[in-house]
Amino acid sequence: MPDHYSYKYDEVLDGYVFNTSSGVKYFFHFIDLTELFRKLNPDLESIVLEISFFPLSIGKKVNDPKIAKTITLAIKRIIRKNPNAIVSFVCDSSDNKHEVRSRLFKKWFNDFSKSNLVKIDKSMSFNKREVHRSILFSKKNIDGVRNVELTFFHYGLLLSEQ
Amino acid sequence: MKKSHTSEIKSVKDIVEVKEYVKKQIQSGKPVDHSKMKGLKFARPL
Repeated sequence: MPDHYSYKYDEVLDGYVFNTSSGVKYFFHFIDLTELFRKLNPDLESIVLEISFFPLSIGKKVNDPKIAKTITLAIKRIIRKNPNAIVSFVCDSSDNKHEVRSRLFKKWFNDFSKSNLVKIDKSMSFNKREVHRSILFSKKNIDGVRNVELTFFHYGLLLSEQ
Repeated sequence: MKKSHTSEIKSVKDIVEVKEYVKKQIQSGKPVDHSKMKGLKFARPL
């Protein structure tokens, strides 16, 4: 029995969907932030993708570990397919659940530290709103760990000054 | 190729707003109006 769900691309929604055993359909997609990151660092060769995921229907929350596995597997696949991909995700506080979400993501990606992937976290506040940001990328990323890290921090600093 | 206007993004607040808009549209079964994406585009990396 697989520990994750199978997802498929939905042309209409422009993202990926999967059904869970509780009957809730989940959706995840990627927003391309490459251009923004390259404005900060024109030498950056990586592509930067921000992942968002959520249930398609608002309903009862179910604690299903296969959901986490499905999302983390998708991220790993992206980076395996393109070692120069950087995947970003944000836990914002619009629903005051950012701390819980951030801890959950840390737990989800705990095993990443044992792989060849790098995870960097940064928290920031603006307009009384807390935002926990993270990026995941391969240690073999062509831009180098230090360069990616500096660009990520610079991006956060720049935006927090707006 | 359509030119991206991500210069509309001025802060993290803009990105968060776009994401919240997209989430709201998708969860309510409504189409996403790309003119409200402030130049951001979706990617299909898988």
